[in-house]
Amino acid sequence: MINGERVRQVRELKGLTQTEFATHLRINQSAVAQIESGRIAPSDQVLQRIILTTGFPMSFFKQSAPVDFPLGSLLFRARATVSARERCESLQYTRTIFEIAEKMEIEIDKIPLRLPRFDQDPISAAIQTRSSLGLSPDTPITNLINTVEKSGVLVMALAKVLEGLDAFSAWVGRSSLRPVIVIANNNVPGDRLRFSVAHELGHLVMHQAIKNDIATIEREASSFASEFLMPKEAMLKEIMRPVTLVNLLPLKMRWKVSIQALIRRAWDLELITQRQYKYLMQQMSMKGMRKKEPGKVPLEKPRMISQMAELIYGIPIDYRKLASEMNVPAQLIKETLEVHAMKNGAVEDDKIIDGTSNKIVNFRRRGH
Amino acid sequence: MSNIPEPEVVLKNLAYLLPTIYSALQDGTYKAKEYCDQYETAGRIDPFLAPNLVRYHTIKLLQKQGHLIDEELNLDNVPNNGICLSYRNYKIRILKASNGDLPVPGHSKSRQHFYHQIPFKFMDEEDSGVTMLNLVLLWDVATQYNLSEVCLVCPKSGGVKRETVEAHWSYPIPLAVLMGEPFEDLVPAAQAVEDLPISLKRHDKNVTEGKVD
Repeated sequence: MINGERVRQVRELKGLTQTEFATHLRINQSAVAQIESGRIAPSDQVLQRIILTTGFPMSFFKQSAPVDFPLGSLLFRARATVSARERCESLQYTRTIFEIAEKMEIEIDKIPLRLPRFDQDPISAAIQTRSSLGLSPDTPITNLINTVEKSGVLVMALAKVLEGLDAFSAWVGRSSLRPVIVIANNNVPGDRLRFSVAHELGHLVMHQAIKNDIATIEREASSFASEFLMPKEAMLKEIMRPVTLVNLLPLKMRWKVSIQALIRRAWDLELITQRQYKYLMQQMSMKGMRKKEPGKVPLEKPRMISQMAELIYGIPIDYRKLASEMNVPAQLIKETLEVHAMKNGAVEDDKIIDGTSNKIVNFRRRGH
Repeated sequence: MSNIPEPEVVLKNLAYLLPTIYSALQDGTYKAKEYCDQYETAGRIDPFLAPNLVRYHTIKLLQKQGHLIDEELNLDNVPNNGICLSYRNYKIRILKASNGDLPVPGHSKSRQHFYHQIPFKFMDEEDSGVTMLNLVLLWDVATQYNLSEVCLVCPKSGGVKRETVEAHWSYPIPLAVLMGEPFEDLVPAAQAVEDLPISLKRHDKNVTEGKVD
């Protein structure tokens, strides 16, 4: 007997409507709805078509329902920029990866949670969070995602780029809640992604209980991110007058934040007037720098999932075994691991996954 | 031109030249101001004469010092004290910023072609196969005609009107680089993969260095 909730999970993960999915399965939409709600069981023929269409193995559909992944910060800001279908797709993708991470974590000694929770103003929350994570108030954060992961937050990246949303976060779990940050778009400059991750960290620290309107919550998370990445104490020392684009570039490279974020920070800290702020932003627009800023900050990638896979399934990672134990297609595993930080040699080429490399196939046969 | 290199790559290649160009421009702006102080009423800076004087003095200094930097550096002849340098695969025009941005080419066909990255060739000239990247080194002045910002721009298009002017990218050159510090300091090294403090619970499995079936 298969679980209808799993059929819905895969359909939404593939970005299909019930009608589109029904066309693939050569049944009508109401039959899909009934299969998903568990009112009817699909025939063997339909089940085979589900497996062929989705690429997911039978074992996946026989599992119990996955953990409910709340919308979290996706609720706050995605409505304007992300369609309902994209939101479903990314949520189901997230549920799948989260489940894989949870299964691997059974084998691992987890990092204890050190992320504090505050119910205070964003600036104080950011200062105290830096202190809780062992960061000094006047030095840049070299690798933000790594630092966040070391505090016990699970950071995951989605292989499918979600335009219009860089990241989202939630407290997730069945018995006890744990903080999760999901990177939904890694096709952005490194400095922008860092700000998005810091913004999500702000939501996790401050907004488990929602007390204000969405605009205020978003503003608070951005203030948290500004103070967390560019502490006031350090900025007052390092932003030199006159504040020009030339002077801000080395600061961008040192603090790994965008020039636009630095200009905004300089205005917030009253190092420049509103008029100077507008002038600098105009300069950036005129030079096309708002679309493409000078100075390249490397893109950070999360490490937890790939490191767990390396520890459990070796280097190079045995994708087949990993996929088989997680009841998902090997391609999904490969795509997912590729957007995470991997050790050299941990990535296998496509031939190995397809099983078309003679060398590997022979090796496996001898092993058995 | 289809493959426009990243600004960091170009700046790295030109970093060697930039301090000389910058000091020539500084010298030019200083001498222009000095001239205006001496000959203009109440030291007024003539907005048309001063940039011309800057270019004149910059060319003089580059002619004097250019060959000392690199024998591949050549100064092209451009009317009205225009400055155009050829260096390896780069063609660099040194222009004064117009309201902080690239000046409009107007009806100048050669300037329009330059902005569009169309290579200049004599009619009977054969294709050398080498593609030159056209760049603009924009300079600007602050109060008292002091040299302020120097920006490297890779133009994309430009016609008669302001809205036709576009750039592939624009990169304000950090003062440290203009003063001769290595550009590499501004390009961060690729992030090394940093492990998290996690380990396997069970140690009876032979899995830490690769699993054997």
